Amino acid sequence: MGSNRVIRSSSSVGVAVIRVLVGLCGVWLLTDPAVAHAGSLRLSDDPVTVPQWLVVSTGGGVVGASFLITSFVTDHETIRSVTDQWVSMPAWLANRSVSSAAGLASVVVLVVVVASGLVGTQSELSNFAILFVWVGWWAGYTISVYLLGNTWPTLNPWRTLASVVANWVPTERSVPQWLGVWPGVGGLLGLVWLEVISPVATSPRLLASVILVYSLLTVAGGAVYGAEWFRRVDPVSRIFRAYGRVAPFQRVASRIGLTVPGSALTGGNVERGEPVFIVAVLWVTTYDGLVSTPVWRDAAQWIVATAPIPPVVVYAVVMCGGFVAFLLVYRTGARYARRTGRTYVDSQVIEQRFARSLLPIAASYHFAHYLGYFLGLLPALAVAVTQPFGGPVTPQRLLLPSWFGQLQLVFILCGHLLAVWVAHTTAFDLFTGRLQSIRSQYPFVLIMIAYTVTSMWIVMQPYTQPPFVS
Amino acid sequence: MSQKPIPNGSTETDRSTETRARDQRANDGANERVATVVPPDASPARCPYCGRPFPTEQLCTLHLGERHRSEWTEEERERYESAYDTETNELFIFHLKVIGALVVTFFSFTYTYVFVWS
Ligand SMILES: [Zn+2]
Repeated sequence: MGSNRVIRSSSSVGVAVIRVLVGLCGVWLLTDPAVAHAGSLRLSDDPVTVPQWLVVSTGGGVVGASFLITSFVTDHETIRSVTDQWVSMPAWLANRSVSSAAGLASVVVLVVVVASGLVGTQSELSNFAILFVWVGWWAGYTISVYLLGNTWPTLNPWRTLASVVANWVPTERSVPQWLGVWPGVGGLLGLVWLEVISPVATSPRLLASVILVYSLLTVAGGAVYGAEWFRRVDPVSRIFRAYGRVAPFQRVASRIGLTVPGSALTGGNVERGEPVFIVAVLWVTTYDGLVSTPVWRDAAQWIVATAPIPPVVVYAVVMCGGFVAFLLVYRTGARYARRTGRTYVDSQVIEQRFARSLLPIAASYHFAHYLGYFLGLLPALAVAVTQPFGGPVTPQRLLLPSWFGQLQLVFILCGHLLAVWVAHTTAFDLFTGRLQSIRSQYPFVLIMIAYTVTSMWIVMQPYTQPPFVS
Repeated sequence: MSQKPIPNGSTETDRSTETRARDQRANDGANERVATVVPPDASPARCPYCGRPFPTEQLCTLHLGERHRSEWTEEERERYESAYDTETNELFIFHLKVIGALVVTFFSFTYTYVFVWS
């Protein structure tokens, strides 16, 4: 086959070019201790500092350059071979009795968390409920979901409870189709808004009440609508499923396998509303960081001083407005991809296929945002586990080394580099020809550069308590 | 190493075998149907096998080589090879520009850092 020969020779030229460029890039990173210094701006008084605008634009530059470098990989076979790795894991990992034991254990943990929140010590730094939910679960467990695999459908205590309740009340309904992805999106925005405006992260009693309300809703929903509730409506299950796609361990039917991180983001069917939910995930992680910057504090104070709007409404309006803005930017990007790639593929299809490339970005941003928090409070969590209702031992806070802030910027960059590669693979799968596949990525790469700059800027801001809320 | 199933990010076991079979087919390039929207004033080139529209004849020919190798004719194969060569030449010019852009990015950042540090 003549064409195969053509493909092979061009790919070996491509590989040689990549080697040279990777070498160049290495030199760049080595000659670039500035990235390292910059993160420590607020952590140490290093005399050699670099202005923030230069650090964030270097981040954008690295993402742009990585797109240019991946444009040399144009052979379909090579691109596919990266994502086609699959090592099967031993079958007992997916064993039913192991998973039902895990499900029961997490129901016990849920009961202890609620009890500890209601009757345990009300001191924020030694209460088991607070530390377990925010440090152990929302920071630590979420990290395990995108770094290892999505274990939530097995561990989800509400799923176990709902299946028990469903045995008594045999109702089999399905969630109305016209609702689409919106209950999940609304739930996600609502939960994060609640976390920001209320002391749910510091008051054990409030946290336990929120968990009780969520439990009632979720068990009722899960009992009535079955698995569909957790697949389409429950925002917690949806966010873990989304993050789980980034992970190296994937489960298909009854098999668990090890694959290249991110390769589950490139193939398979994407349901209609999924891009909207993924954009919501990206936006809420950003929102969480944005409201604790000095710029937000000044802006919020100005808004509340000039207009008679209650602060919680300001927070809600910005939550919804920012989400709509993110969605519009992404939709516009998908429409422009049709133009730059010169293709007739429906922009809705482009929107669906490229949405998952945003997930490594959201995951890396979560990692940068929460890893320090998780490690710092891990000793306190360990103490609280031994005495869930409060006790004599006072917890310690782990002090992180000063270079930790620099590491955060590196995490964000890694997520964006993975995203660039996922978008590249997706484009070569969806579009025709090599040039069209490369050109179709222009709008998405521009969006990613803009987002790198924004998120690195947010991470470098000194932590500021969000105003008007506790 | 075994044949890779299509991961779906889910560990739910309640998906019907029908859904899974649909996923499998979606990954099978030749049968793939991608939704397209053609502007009303355009006259697209259409793939003789799956009817997918393309803005240029060259893209349509490249598509034949990517999706329909098992069913194409000898004439189409030859057309594909020449279209592929044409694209390789365009790609070469494109990659020259990319190298230029990389060099410009590299040096502009290097000079900015030198300027900021001094
Ligand atoms: Zn075709």
